[in-house]
Amino acid sequence: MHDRGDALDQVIAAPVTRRRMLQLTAVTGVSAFLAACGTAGTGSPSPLATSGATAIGASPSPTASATGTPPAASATARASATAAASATAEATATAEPTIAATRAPVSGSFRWANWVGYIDRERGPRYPTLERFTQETSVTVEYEQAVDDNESFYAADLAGPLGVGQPTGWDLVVLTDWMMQRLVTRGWLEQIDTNGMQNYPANLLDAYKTREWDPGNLYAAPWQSGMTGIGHDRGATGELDSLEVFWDPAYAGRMTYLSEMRDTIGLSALRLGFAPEMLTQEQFDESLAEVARAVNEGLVRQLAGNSYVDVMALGDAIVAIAWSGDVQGLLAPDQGPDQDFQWVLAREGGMLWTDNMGIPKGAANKAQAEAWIDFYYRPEIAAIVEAWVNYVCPVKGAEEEMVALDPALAENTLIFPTPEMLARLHSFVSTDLDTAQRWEGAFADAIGL
Amino acid sequence: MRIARLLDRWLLPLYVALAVLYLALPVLIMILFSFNDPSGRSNISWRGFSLESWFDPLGQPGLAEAVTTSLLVALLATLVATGLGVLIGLALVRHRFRGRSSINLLIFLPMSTPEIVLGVSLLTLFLASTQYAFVPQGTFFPLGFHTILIAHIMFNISYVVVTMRARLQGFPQHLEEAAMDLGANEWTTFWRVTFPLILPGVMAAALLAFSLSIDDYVITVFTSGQATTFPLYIYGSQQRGIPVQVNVVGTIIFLVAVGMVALSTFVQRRQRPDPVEAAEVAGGRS
Amino acid sequence: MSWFRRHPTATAYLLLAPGIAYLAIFYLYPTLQMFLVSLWTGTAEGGYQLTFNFGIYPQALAQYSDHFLRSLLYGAIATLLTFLIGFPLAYFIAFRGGRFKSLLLFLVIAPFFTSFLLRTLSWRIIFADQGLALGPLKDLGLLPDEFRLTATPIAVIAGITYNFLPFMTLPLYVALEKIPPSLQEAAEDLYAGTWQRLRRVTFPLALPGIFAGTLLTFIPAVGDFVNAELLGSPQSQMIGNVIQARFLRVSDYPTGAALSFILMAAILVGVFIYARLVGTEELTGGTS
Repeated sequence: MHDRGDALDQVIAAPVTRRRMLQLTAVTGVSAFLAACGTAGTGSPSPLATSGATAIGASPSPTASATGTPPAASATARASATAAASATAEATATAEPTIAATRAPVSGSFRWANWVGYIDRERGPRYPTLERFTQETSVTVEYEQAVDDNESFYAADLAGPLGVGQPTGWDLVVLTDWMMQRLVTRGWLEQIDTNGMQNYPANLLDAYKTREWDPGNLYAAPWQSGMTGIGHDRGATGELDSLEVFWDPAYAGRMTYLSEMRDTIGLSALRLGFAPEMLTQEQFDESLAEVARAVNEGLVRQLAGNSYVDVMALGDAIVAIAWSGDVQGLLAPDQGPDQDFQWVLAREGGMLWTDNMGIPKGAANKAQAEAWIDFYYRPEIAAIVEAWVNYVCPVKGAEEEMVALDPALAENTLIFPTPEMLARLHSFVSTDLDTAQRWEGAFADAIGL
Repeated sequence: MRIARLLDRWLLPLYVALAVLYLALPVLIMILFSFNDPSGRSNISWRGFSLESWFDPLGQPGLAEAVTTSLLVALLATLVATGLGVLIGLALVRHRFRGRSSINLLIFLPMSTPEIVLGVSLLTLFLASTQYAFVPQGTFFPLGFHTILIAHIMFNISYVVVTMRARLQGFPQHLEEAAMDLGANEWTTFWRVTFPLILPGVMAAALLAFSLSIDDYVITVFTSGQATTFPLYIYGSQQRGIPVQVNVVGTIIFLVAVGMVALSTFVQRRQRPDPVEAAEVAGGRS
Repeated sequence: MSWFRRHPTATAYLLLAPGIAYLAIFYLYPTLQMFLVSLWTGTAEGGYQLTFNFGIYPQALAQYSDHFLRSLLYGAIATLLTFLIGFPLAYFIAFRGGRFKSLLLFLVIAPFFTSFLLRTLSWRIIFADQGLALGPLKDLGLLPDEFRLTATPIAVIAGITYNFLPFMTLPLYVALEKIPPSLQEAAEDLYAGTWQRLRRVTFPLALPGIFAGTLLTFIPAVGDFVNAELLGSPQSQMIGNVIQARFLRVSDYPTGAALSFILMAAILVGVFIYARLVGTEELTGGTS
C-alpha cells in the first residue's frame, strides 16, 4: 500500500536522526568551507561580486515585514552559518554575474506558471528578480500565477495536451513533489539539460539529491520547500501550539482546513500519533474520520485552497491549516490594526513538502527556462526571493546570502527551520496512483463534496 | 380595507424602493471597490480611494487575454447562434410541417437542463471523442477556445429561437405576398421586406445571446481547458487575490451594457413604430 | 413561382436543418455520451472500459442522496423567496408603474449586466463577519459576536434567490401586464376586497407567468454550485458541487456523469409533471 521505496523527499522528511542533524549542519558548514577555499570553482571574491552584494542589500524589499517572526532558538546550524557569514558572504556571492560561460547564450522568452506569492513582487505587478534576470540574459519572462491547486492545474492545463502528445503552452511549471512524480512516471517532463549549468544542480542542497523518483534531479528542480501548520490571528486567539486547536469547539465555525488532501489528512494523522510518511490504509481511514467529524460538527467553516488567505484577512477565520510562507508573505503585510497573523509549527508536528520547477514535454522555450533555473540557483538570487517569499530555500549558500542581506532573517524559522523543527516535519506517504485517486475521492466525500 | 389601502399607497412603494436597493447593492459595492487602493493583496477590504486601477484597467497578467477571449467567444457565438436560431424561428412560425412539436421540445430541452449538466455532457463528449477513429486527433481534445465556442453556440440557439418565436407572432405575411405580386423574387423579398421587419427581433435575440455568453461561468468551466474567459479569470483571482482591475473591467462591462440598453430604448422611441407590432395591434392580439 | 414557394415543407426542413443538426450533435448526442460514460468502470490512470455498470446509479444515488435533497430544498426555498419578493415588485411595476414602468424594469434588470461571480463575491464582502452589515450590528450588541452569515445555508439560499430574482420577476411582470385592468375594476365593482381580488382574479390570470417564472428559477437553482462554493460551508454543498468535484478534482467520471444524468432526468420528469398539473400548453411554447 504505502511504498516506502518511492517515498518522496525521503531524506528531507525522514525522521531526523542525529546523523541527519549533523548532516544538515555539515551542509551549511561544508558549503561555507568549500566556498571559502574556492574549491567550488567559484574563484576568489571579485570586486564586482562584492558590489553586487551591496546592491542587493540596498534595494528596498518587503523583508522588513517578513522579519516580524516569532523569535526562535538559533540552532547549531545557524550559529555556524552566522559565524561563517562574513567570511562566506563574499565568497558565495561569487556565483558568476554572467550565466554559465560554457552554455550558448539564449534570448527570447519563456512562459512560467507558478503559485501565488511565490516570487518577490512589487506593486504593478512587477517582479524585481525576473527583471534582473531579463537584464542579465535578455530573456523575458511571461510570468503567471496560474497554479491554484495541483490537481486542477493538471486537469486543465497539462493532462489534455500532454495526453495527446501536444505541447501545453507552458515552458516552466511549479508543482508539488507528488504531482511531479506523476508527471515523471508518465514521461511528461523534459529532461533538464544541465550541461554547462554552473549552479544547478551544483548548488542544490544535498538533502534533495536522493529523491528516488528523480535520480540526478534531472526532471524536477526544487523551487521552494514549505511547511504546513497552524496559521492564526494571534490577536484573536493568543498563542497556539497544538493540532488540537483544529478540533477545538471554542473555534467552531472560525477555522478553515486545506482542500489539499495530503496536508489536511497529514495533520490529522499527526494528531493521532501516526507517521504520515508510513500511513497505512487503516490509519488513513482513521485520520479521515477525524476530519469528517470536525466537518460534520460544524467546526470547519470552509475548506479552501489558496483562498484561505482571504478568509483569514476578512476575519471570518482566525485559525487555519496554513502554509508557512503565506502568513508572513501574504497576510501580515496587509493586516489590520487588531490583527496579528502568525504561523506556528505544532508540537505534534507538521507537513513538509517541496514545490519543483519542471519543463513540460514539448515546451517551445526549453533553453530559456533552463537559463532561469540556472539563474535562480545562484545563492544571492535565491536569497532575495526567499527573503520575500518566506519559504524554505533549496539552494546551497542562500542562507549565508540572506544573513548578509539582513541578519535578522537568520532568526526566521520559516525560512530556516531548526533541526528541532525538522525533526517534527514529515512528508506524506507516496502511494500508487490508483490509491491516490481513491484517497482523493474519499477525502472529497468527507468534506461534503 | 384601511390596511389594504395603507399597504397599497405607502408600503408597496417603500417595498419596491427597498427591493431596488437590494438588487443594486452588490453592484454598488463592485463599483465602489473599483476605486479601491490597489496596494493590498486582494480587493476584499477597503483601503482608500484611488483612481490608479482605472488608468490601467488591463494591467494584470492574463486579464487582457481573458477579456479578449470572452469578447471573441461572445461575438462569434452570437453570430452563429443567431443565424441558426433565426432560421429555426422562421421555420417554426411560418411553415407547417410534421414533427413540429418534437422540434419545439428539442428547443425547449436545453433551457430546462441545468447548466452543469450541459457542461458535463459536452465534457464527456469531448473526452470520449479521443476514442473515436473518425474524429481526427485534437479536434475536441485538448479543450480550448474552440470547445468553449461550441458550447456557447449550443446553449444560445434555444434562447434565440424562443425570442424570435415571440417576435414573429403575427408577422404580416401579406406584405411579403404583396412584394412578390409586384414581381420581386424570393431573395429580394427576403432582404428588402422580411429581413428589415424581423430585424428588431433578431437584434433582441442577438443581444440576449451575447449577454448570456459573456457572463457564462458554469458551462465554460467544464469546456475551457487552458483557455480563460473573464468569468473564469474572476474565479481564479478569488483564489489568488482579486486585483482591483477585475472590478474596473466589471464596471466597464456594466456601464457599456447599460449604455447600450439606454441607447436602444432611445432609438426605439424616436423610430417609427415597429410594423410587426403595428400589424399585431391592427389584427388584434392573439 | 420559385422552388421555395412550391415546396413549403421542404423549405421548412431546409431552414431547420443546420440548427437542429447542431443541437443533435452538441446536445442530444452528448447527453447519450454522458449516459455511456456513467457506465464506465476504471480510473483516470488505468483507463476506462464501458462495462454497462448500471449499479452505479443506485450507488451514486444512495451515497449522495443528502446532496440531492439539499439541492431540491434550497432550490425550492429560493424559488419561493423569489416569488414572494418578485410578485409585489412585478405587481407594482405592472399596475402602478405608469410612466416609470420602463425605468423600473430597467432598474430590476440592470444589476444583472454585471458578472454574477462579482455580485456573489460582493455579498461575501457585505456579509463578512466583521464587515459592513454585521460589524456595526455586533458593535451595537444587537448580534452575538459568533453570529455569521457567510458559510451558512442561509447565505447560499440568499445568494441563489438574489441571482435568480429577475428570472421570476420578468415573467410575472409580462403576465400581469397582460391582464386587462377592466377585469380588476370589475372585481372591485363587485365588492371584492384587495386580497380577494388578488386571490381570485389577479393570481389565476398570472398563472402562466408564475409557471414560467418558477421553472426559470427552480431549474438553474437546483443545479447551481457557485453560490454554495463561495458562500457556503462543507455542510451546505449542493449536488452541483459534488458533480464538479467528481469531474475536476477527483477524476471520477462515471460517478460524476451518473449524478449529472440523474439530476437532468429528475428535473425533466418534474417539469413534465408540473406542466400537467398546471395544465398549460405553453410548456414548450409552441403555437398550434
